[in-house]
Amino acid sequence: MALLTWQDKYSVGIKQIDDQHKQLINMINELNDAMLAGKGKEALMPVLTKLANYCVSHFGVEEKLFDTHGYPETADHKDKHNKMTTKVKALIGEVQSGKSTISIEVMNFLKNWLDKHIMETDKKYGPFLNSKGIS
Amino acid sequence: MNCRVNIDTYRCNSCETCVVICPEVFRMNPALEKAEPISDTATCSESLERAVAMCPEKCIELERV
Repeated sequence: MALLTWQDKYSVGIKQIDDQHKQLINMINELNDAMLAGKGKEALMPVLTKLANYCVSHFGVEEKLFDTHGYPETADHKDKHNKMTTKVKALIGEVQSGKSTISIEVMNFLKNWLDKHIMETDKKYGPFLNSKGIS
Repeated sequence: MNCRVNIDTYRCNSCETCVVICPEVFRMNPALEKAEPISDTATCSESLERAVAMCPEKCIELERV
């Protein structure tokens, strides 16, 4: 059974972004399932590789919308994206170095991403972009 | 309901997953650098069962008492 399922409360009011955020939930569930099966370590690199690609594509889409429509909190939001991308690269480095605590660390990082970044930071731009005709 | 918590410290890989998920029951033994239950028995809880399920080495057992 999936740990997390998509709920309307996660929506930022923009379908393309919501669809991309659903991919993050899928990654959390994938890692959770692997950990329950005792295969957390084996699942880490595939999940982190997806996450690194996700950072590039998803953050790129958001930042292009910010730049196009003059979102006033662009600089702060981009700074958060840069920090998250740096963290993902650091986690990949830790996996490659064999740090054993990493499965639960990655799981907590992803859940924090959902709870803090999407539920708080991303939610701020929804009404602004909606007002620009993006939905 | 209470459980007796048993950890096979030979198999424990010191990953601290149980400590992160259920810190009210597990802690790290600094001398052994292995996880250990804080007391012999603990209240059965969702977080305790989750910690057992998520243990990568499957080295924690719960015994209902």
